[in-house]
Amino acid sequence: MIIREEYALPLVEKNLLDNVTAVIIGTTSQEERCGKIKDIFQNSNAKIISVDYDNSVERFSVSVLSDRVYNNAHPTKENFAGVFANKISGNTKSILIDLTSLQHSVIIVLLNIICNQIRPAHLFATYVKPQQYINRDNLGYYSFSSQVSEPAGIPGLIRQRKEHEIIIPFLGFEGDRLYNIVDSDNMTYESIIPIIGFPSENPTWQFEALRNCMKALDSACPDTEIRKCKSNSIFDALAVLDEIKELYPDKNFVLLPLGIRPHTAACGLWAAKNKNARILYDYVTEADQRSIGIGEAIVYHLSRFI
Amino acid sequence: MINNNPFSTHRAEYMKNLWKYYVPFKDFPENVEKSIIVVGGRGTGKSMFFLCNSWREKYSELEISSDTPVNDFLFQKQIGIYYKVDSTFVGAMKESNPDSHNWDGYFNTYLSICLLIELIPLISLLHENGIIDMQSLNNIVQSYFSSVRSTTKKNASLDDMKEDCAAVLQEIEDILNYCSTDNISFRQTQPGTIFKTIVDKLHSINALSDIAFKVYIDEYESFSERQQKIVNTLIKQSNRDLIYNVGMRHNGMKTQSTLGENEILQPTHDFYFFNFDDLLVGQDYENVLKDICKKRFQMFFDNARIELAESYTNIEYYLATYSIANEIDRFAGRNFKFKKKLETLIREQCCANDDAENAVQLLCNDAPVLNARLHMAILMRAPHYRPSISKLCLAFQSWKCEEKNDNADMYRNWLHNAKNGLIYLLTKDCGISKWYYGFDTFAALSSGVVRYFLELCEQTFNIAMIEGFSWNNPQPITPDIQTRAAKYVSQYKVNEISSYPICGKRLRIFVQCFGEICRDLHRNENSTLGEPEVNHFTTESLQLSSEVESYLNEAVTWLVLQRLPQTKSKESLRTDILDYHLNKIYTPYFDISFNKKRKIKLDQMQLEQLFSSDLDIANKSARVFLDNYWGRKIKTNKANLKKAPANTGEQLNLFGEGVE
Repeated sequence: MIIREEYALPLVEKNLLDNVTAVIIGTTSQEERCGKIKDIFQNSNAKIISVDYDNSVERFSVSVLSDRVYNNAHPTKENFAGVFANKISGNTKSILIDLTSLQHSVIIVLLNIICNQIRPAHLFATYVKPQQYINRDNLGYYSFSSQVSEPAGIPGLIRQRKEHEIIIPFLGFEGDRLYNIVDSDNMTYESIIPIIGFPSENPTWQFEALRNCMKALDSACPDTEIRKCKSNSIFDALAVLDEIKELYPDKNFVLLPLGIRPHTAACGLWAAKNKNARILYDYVTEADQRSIGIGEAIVYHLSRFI
Repeated sequence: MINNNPFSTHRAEYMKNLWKYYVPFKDFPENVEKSIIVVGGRGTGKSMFFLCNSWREKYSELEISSDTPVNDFLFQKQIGIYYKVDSTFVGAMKESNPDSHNWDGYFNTYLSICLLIELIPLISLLHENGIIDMQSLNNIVQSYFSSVRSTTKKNASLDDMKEDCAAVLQEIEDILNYCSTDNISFRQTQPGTIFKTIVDKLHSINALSDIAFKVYIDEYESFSERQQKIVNTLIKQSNRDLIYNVGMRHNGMKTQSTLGENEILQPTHDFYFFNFDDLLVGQDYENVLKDICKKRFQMFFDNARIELAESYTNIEYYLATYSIANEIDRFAGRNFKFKKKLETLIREQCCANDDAENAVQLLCNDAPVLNARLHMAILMRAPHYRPSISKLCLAFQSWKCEEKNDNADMYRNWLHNAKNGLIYLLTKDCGISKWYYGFDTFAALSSGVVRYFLELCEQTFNIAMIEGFSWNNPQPITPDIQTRAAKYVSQYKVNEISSYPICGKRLRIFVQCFGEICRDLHRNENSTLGEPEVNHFTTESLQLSSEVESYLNEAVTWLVLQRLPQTKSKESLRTDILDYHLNKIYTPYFDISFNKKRKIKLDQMQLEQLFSSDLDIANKSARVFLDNYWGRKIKTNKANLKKAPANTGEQLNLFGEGVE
């Protein structure tokens, strides 16, 4: 049985400040909540490293923000692991990654490298909830991204297309993105098992996400069974994925991380351990601001996955 | 409900026994001894064509229809191998520094292995049926190991070969993920060599010596430019024994070069080029659609054990054919706002010696609504193009009495040109939706995309079943239900645009704004129907910026727009002037015509604004266009009025007032 080690940040903040040796954050978002973890650790002894990915040039950007000398590296996906290991070296005992500010694809890449190559003694993740999502029209449709790309694999978790694949999308607000992937000519699959965050922080969110994805699900797999996992919970998402695997032991899986970041982290952790799973992601260009306000912050203890 | 719908599946990839659904297009050269490059949008039937020419489908068909399937299969003298590009995998098979790995070598081996994986079950089948003896099978397996692993493997079986293929792919996967080449144990080969080695071995077997092996690579556009060069080399090297064919979306070919220096693929010389856009027009397309539906009905009736006469397998029985007369019948008994304005126009334009009351009675009150609306459009035209009231009365009466004279012919001509356009004005006037129904309409709306047609049929039957349609007593489906289905499909096709990668949101805004322009041109009450049914645009390609050109190409790639040749002989001489048609599937959403009638001209600046991806800018551009369009019309009328002293002063003033 998995012990769901999820804590409210204030309960463990002091412990983290004393013990975390490296904090990894993203810098592409202008949202208020994305700066919270950086602000907390600014004056700690932890090395703060920023990692971003620019899909248009297919390059990462890695820099140590706590260094006095600004030194930004731009590795390709092939040499990112080496560059990142070099930047974090000496501070790998206890790593915290801030899911709130990191891009979805970067979360997956980092978790894969940290769990399988760097192997710190302790691994934590944080997620700061928003108070409200913006960019919503009157009909409840959201536009969080200015551009989507052709679905592609995640560096480090590139896997061949296999027979008997089941698609497992984590549903988000942008149904168009789901449609873009499942309706792609390159996509052949046996069935779809969507997972929705339920109950969500705000009761309307789960319904809007479901409604916005309905068209894609209806056209791709009308008799699909929708599963739910607690929103914001990495462990609940992992438990649902394990349940699906148990039900379909002979199948292969395609994970689509289109929901919130904790569920994306679950996709990364699960795919890293399951060779019969691959991840497809549409490398969206996210809007600078998708939400406002700073809500509750959660800490996930992920050391068991190392 | 879904299971009761013969049209609920419309993607080739999900159909079992695909050949049962397959209807070949007439004149599609399936048996040519040259490579074929097939271009077409999503849903046109490329995958269907490739899959149905693969050995699996051919054999599957013979297994049911023949007592000696293997012999009959070999008698066809060709073996098709289908490969659909794994875009995420091959997409990762490149890096920023191409020299750090032998990516060409990995790709060459990868492609050959993928093709072999598809061929191995056939080899096994032929071995089980005695076509390939044990000695030959051993030769094949040993050839494989020596060309892939540079070594022979004693006592290796076909299963070992299959397992080794999987192992090679796993090694390539590891290279992609860990970028480590330390443990590579397979050979990085030249294009197609591994696959050719096995094909040569198969050709050395007597029963297979004259068989042509045809490779069908689907979704060629997913290859990188470098990978396309490799595949182009294979196309160039194709011969009667081993032929590579590729299918792709519009603009999917990034390069025509091969790996040879200064060597390019040349149509006719190296390959046959087929554009589905050219094939899917006219009667042949409609016949194919009917045959596809017939097969679906037959299979559905067989599976559901429904016994119905053959006439029920004709899609036209359910959809019927569009009749404008039916549409006009809907207007009976309704109130039309335009009549008041028409009456005023008639009175204003009557000369001193005209009988205004009689004219109003004849042209407005007693005239059928379609004619009355036509009279209004004609009377709103510039004086130069407008007949006098007495002339219009005479022409209308002659037409009514079915006379054969110039007046009647003139009226017939007006009505013929404006009839469809009038329907849009009348539906707007009385607040009802334009009907989109009938087999011919659905065929036109599908814009040559078979999948769109099937989706229209699927929704039609879905709605019909909700409304009580039953296979126990199947009845023709009403125009109203068909229209609701067409509008539903149209709406989700328009919404779907924003999900297209890269330019989706930009294209969505463009379609919305261009559609709104067309909608206004169809339904604006000031329309004189001189240029009815505008639904496409023309532009001078030499004036376009590379940015706008790339957006237009992207729109064509995703079938949002269709680039069709100009039909007027004078224009067709200018190859730089191109016509872009809004995909007809979007027309019900905008309540506009799907007929190829009139176009507007858009210049670089207008296109740049419409493609700006900023809704405000695009909307403003559309508004400015429409203001200019209607404003210009009014100005023209005014100018003409000033130049028309032959008319009575009274008429000039009245018309002027009307415009003011």
